[in-house]
Amino acid sequence: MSERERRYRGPVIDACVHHHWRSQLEVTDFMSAGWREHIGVPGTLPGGAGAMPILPAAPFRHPAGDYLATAEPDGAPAGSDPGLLVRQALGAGRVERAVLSHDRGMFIPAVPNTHRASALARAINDWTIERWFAADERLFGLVLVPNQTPQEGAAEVRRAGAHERMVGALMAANGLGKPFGHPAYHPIYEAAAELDLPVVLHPGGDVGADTLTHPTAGGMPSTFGELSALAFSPIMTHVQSMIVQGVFEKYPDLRLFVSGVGTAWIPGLFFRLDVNWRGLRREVPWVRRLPSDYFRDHVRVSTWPIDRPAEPDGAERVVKLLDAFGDAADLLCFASGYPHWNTDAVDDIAQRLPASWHAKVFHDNARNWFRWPDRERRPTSRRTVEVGAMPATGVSDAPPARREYPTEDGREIEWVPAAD
Amino acid sequence: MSVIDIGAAEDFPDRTLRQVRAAGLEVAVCRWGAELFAVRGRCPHQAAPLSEGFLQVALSSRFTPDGVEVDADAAEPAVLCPWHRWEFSLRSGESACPGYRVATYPVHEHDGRVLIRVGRG
Repeated sequence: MSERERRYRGPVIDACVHHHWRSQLEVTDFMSAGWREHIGVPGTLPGGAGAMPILPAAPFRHPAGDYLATAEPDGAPAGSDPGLLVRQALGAGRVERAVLSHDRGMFIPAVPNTHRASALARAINDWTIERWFAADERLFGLVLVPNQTPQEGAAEVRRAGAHERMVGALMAANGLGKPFGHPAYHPIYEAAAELDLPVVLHPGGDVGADTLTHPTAGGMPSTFGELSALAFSPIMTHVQSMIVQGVFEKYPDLRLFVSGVGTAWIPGLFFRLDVNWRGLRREVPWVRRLPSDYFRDHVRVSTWPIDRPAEPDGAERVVKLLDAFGDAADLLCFASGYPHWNTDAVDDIAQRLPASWHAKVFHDNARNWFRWPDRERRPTSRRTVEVGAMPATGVSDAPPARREYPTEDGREIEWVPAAD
Repeated sequence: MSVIDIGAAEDFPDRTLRQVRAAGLEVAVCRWGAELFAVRGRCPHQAAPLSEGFLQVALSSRFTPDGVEVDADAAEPAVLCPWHRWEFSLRSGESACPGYRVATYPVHEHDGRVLIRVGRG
């Protein structure tokens, strides 16, 4: 396909831009006088002390800067100036909607002081509504969910999520240190399904020093590069957990959006999970369908950060990989990830994906997935099929994949693929 | 349709799978209480002998406001393939895996003999 054919000129929804505060006073201004006193004011005590920093430590930082240099023109945190964010992320006029997804603020629900975490999450949601929605009508938000206390988290989804421009609920910080399918988190999903809001996962929620979990599987990485390469690993854990623990059977209307970990992890996970489920179904009788069926029906995934194999045909390799999973054009939503160091641009992503995918990936899929103000909230439905009942099946036309090998003594050896 | 004598009733003890050959077909036969079941004796996945598989009963599950309930139905036997544990209902031949099932055959006891019907008609 020629370069010209791979341009995309239609409307764009950016499913993930990151916004942040210039100073934590912006957030504490939305708290009660008591909480403001509790947290304090920076610089009011000698040596610059006087306030508790509200952000948890972020132990992994990009050595050359976490953000686009142009996003921090005066030393203010990247993504903290609504006017600048609108100019840079929406400037070309092609992005008709952008989903504000928080930056390091997404760690807040995991800070050890549980009550402070909940109070901050509420203040941050009000800050997003008041400060950011007023800045541009194309900006939409995600409810920051204080998931360390799931009942309070559910209440906050119902409170802040009632705002018409809150289009999802963010589960980034791993407040309880459990995979997200754990029943402790289910009240949050019940609330999200009730409000017709997709739950949004974003990596980084296991990065903070305050979480009990690791940001990569197997132990703490040593470098930012390792962390970045394996950012999908906790997300795989969470997606697998939500499917296997029956979250989508329990809440058949729940939608999930996975933001910020690219797409190349998808085929490998489901190649294994599907075939294992066939033989392990009795371990999880509430999982009634192939795990990949739940994924296709309940999950959409951001293109950002697009996987970039180093070879000249790297883009084609990724498309082939996604084709191996199938129907990827229906699963992906464009996201820029602005203002992160690896921000993706519309024109570049258009070059990398087949033109036949463009309308869905840049616009239609996100339009159908998030709960936008111009769409009525869908009422939650009741399950009509008994969970655990065997689904209707057909007779396979394919011959058995039997492999037999004669041996010297005439016996037949039947070979079983080890990975099956 | 052929009716084939596959053995004496006492050759089929309760809750035991037995592989027999009938009209050139391998069939797994199982007595389950007062009932007899017969299914194609080879797994449609990779042709493992189902009579060497594991007899279980059907499991189902549901979410309730109090949590997950898991139910076992002692009247619905299932066989798990010995190789990869794929599960088939002995009554219907159905599997939970889309696209796979095993054929079932009518089987009954008459005058102390176990008779199976295979073929068309």
